[in-house]
Amino acid sequence: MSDFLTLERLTLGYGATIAVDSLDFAMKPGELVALLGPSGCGKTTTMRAIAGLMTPVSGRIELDGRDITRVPANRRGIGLVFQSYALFPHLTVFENVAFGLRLARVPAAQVRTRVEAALASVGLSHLADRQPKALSGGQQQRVALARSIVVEPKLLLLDEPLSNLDARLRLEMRSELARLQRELGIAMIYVTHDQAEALALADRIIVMREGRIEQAGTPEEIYERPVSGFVANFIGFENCFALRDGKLKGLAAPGFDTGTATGLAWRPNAVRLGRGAHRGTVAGASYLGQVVEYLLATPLGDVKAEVPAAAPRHAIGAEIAFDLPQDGAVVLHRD
Amino acid sequence: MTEDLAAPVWIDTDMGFDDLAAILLVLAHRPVAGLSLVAGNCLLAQVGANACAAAAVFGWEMPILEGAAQPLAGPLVTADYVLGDDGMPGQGRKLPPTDRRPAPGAVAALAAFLDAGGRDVLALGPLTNIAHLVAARPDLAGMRLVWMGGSAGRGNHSAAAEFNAAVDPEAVAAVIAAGVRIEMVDLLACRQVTATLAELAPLRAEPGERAALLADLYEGYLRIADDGARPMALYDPVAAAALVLPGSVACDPARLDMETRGEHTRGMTVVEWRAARAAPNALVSTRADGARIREALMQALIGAARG
Repeated sequence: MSDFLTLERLTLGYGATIAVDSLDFAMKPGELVALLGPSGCGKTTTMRAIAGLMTPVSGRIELDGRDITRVPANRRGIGLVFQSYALFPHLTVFENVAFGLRLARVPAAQVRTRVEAALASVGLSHLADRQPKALSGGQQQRVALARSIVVEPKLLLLDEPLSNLDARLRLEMRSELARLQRELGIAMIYVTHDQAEALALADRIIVMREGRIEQAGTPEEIYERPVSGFVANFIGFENCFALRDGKLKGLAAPGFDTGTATGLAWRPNAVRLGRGAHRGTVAGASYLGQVVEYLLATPLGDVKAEVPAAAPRHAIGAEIAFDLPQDGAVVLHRD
Repeated sequence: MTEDLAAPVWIDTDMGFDDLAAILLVLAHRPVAGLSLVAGNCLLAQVGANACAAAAVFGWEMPILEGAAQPLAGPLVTADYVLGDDGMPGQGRKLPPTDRRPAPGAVAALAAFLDAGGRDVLALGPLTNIAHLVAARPDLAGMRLVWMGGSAGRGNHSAAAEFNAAVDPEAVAAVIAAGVRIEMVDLLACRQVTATLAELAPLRAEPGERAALLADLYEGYLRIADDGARPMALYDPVAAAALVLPGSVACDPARLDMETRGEHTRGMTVVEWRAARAAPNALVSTRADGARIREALMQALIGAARG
């Protein structure tokens, strides 16, 4: 399949400040790509440039075979969804969704068909005649989603769309989005700082850092094989340690060949407690239901270890052996 | 950025006296494509009555359209505690009431203005209509929005919040999140542009009913500050000047965030000037040329009085 959206050496800035530096990126039709990264990494700026809301310093954006770098936002055929949906309170759900079509002077019969289809696809057909105030927050967010797909955009950009919802609704909307994307086959870019959302939704994740792509890959690749300490940290490896001359600070060599690696990382559940070549002091213990999470003070720094709750407990202050095994270690090639 | 000094301006207003003054200042320099009304200074019905009455007095032909009656979340707080119920305090002449009422559909009309190539929007009240616009049509967030609102320092409605920001903080947050690069003409810059009762003299010297009406309304406004004993800040006309008198208001790029939750700071506009800390997303006023703006406003009022 040919590329649907390509960014070529895209550089974006605000005045003298470069926010995104020579970004290259391509996505396929129907793909759901997550732009993931902390605040200030350039993900929202990139999205705005794709939407046409900021002019690139340099570079090129192509959508569906057409150079859109200089095309105004309202001629790009790109939809956007934000966390704030600001529905019109005096209009029905139907009319809120119909708003853009009526502005574009779409014939009334066609408006009806398209709005009904959009409401059906977000499961709100039965609420078409209600006013927004009669709807829950999640339902209002669905209306906003229907409003953005009813204009049949080529590409849908979602900027932290779920961050205003409570945890349960977030999960519900997440599956809703995934289903909608499968059914409509619409290409989506999902901007988030929430790694769990990105992992759950995306076909591909682009991790951004300081205006550049740090790592791109499938959720599995990103989750299991982060290339840098930055990605590892971001994706939940809570034990990330630098290597100096092949050694971890204050500890023996890891006991396996680390090649040219600059660091090693373990998830808390990969740390083995009770045996091993290293020693630490239990500084904290949290019972989390299925597991107990220990915080160890070690020569290496703090180490987090997670063990099944059924295992024998370790007292705070106890000195304990632990192992950072090769199995479960991720080799990092840069900070 | 090149500025088209003849391009039409769309004005979103909550129609107190300083809004009227701002609209007249714009009209002295640029065509106004339409007025969208928003509740703020007073209730929406009063905003509509004021706008229609002003249109009748000054012969405005642009469409006048009703927008949001309520902020995005929470109940409306008006400025009746300062401006009275009609948003235009004073003991003298008042705008003569008319039977005309604004048409509905402010946001659709503003969207149509932008779709047709219009670019400059001057917002003089809470940003509720603009928030509705960019939620329904996020592809129009590339507009140039000059807003009288917010503060890079102290507040007026509360210790931390300027009135227009405080009335609808969620709207400001939504407009920022949508990527609108707000040009915020803030409370501090507006307070650099003041007028006193003595400065009414040229308007008082003008013959005719319109001049007398404007002078009375202006006087009512100036008397807000200790019954005229202190200079009164001009507010909305300063934002109008930022748009139609290039160079009269200086702005610097800054990162603008909206406080919507703070226990003491809801409605506060948080301004980070240090680009290294946060990428700028707005232009925030730093200075306003008081003498120039005050004089331009007086010329505009005299011009409007003469018709």
